[in-house]
Amino acid sequence: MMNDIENIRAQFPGLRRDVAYLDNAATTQVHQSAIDAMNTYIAGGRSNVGRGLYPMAEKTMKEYDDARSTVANFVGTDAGRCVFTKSVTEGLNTIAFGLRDRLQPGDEILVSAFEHHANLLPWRRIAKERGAIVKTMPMLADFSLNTERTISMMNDRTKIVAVTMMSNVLGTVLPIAELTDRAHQVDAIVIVDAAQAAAHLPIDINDLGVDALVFGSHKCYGPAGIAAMILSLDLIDSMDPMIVGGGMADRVTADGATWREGVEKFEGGSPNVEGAIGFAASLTTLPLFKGESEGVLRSRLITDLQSLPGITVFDPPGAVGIVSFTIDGMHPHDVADMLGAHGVCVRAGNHCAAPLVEKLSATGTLRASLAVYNDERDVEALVSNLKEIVKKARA
Amino acid sequence: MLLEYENLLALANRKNRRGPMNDFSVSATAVNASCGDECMVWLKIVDGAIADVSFEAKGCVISRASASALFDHAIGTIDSARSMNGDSVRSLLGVAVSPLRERCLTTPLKALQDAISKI
Repeated sequence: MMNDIENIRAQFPGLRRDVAYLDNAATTQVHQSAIDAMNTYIAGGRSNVGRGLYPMAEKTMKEYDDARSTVANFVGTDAGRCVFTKSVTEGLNTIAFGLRDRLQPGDEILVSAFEHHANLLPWRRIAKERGAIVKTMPMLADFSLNTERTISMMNDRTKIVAVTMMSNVLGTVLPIAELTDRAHQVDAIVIVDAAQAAAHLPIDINDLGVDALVFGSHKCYGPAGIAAMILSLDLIDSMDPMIVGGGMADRVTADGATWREGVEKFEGGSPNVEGAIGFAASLTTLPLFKGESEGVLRSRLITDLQSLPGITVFDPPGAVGIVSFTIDGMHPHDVADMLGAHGVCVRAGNHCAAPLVEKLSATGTLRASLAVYNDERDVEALVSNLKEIVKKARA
Repeated sequence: MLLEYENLLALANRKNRRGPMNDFSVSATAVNASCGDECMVWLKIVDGAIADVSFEAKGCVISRASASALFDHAIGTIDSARSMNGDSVRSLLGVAVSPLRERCLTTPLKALQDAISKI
């Protein structure tokens, strides 16, 4: 196991010691293994996949297939259930599109109070189209899920349960397996947004039992523009593809078309081969880091933040990786702007989760989010600069 | 940066031209959802020119400072107000504002130009 922070940081060439990068929930720095894998593939001569009949195309196809297997294995499944998309947002939209015809007027879609817009707006749209109703699983006062109330909300009208595994604002971890058990009792389909969870929590889709799970590369130390949509075999067979065109059609006649079977049905257009290869490489490395010292660092961050005057820190029980906070009388964007000028990178605003953040603060929150390469020096840089900013602003 | 923040804060907290105008000719509201900025402006138009301005602004310090500086400057010809852009407001503020805060900077200008478009 790697536990020396400088050894870890040396594996991320984008890091600098004069910058405290604490915006990892937005995107992480890229691991050297992903950079190397993409460089090797591109420099070795590339081709498209599923089209060419020459040796270089065969090599590319194998690398793409291998990448698919690696990414699927990361969450405990095989390549036959793993669709590559350009983003988690595209994956969730694809699933919503594919399920829309199953909804009847009055049917219910359950989403949680913690959802990113990516796992909220697609469901609102198909609900509007089909006369279905979107209901929200409520949050408790301690910023965790009201699981008891959520379980009681599921009934024979519930057709879809769309839920994040980990809040991108608060770090709250949701009880996916428990929710899935109840959802399947009422024959609802469970869709999980694991965009944040993938870099912080162990994920085994068999243990969770969910029907679909989506996570992306750029929050897991890989390149941007590539994500994985893991689907049950039933969903792969039964859902219509959202994107149609090259690469996904089986037979195209003068006035009709049929789709390929399996995951290729959902991958219309030339795929992001180098992205998939980089994604797979980063996931091969990620398990070496998981669970190292992030919890200790998060506790230190919370304790140090709470020592500042006029600060509110949101700390749900069992949360991981992310800390949101507000400072009395100071707009989060102004604070983030000043921190940025001092080499501290945090996010401010509603974090694309406006319905949740509006419950925390009228003007949004500041968010510090941790990765495997952060240490006490990053926390100290954040807290000492915050202290100075607050002091001078109130002088 | 802190010094700039202090200057912006002083500008943002000025009490110039604040509050609704009773005998306004046109008004408009602009919002910047990412920061929660909101700016309402009321214009009194006399002989085709802006004779008086008042406003209300809430949100981040850049948006509020921008409103304060812009609306002091807005009295006069409509054409000059119509031709302003982000750089015009940036130079009125006299401090460096990141391009990432462009919408904060220009929300008051959008309110002003929306109001002018109603004349």
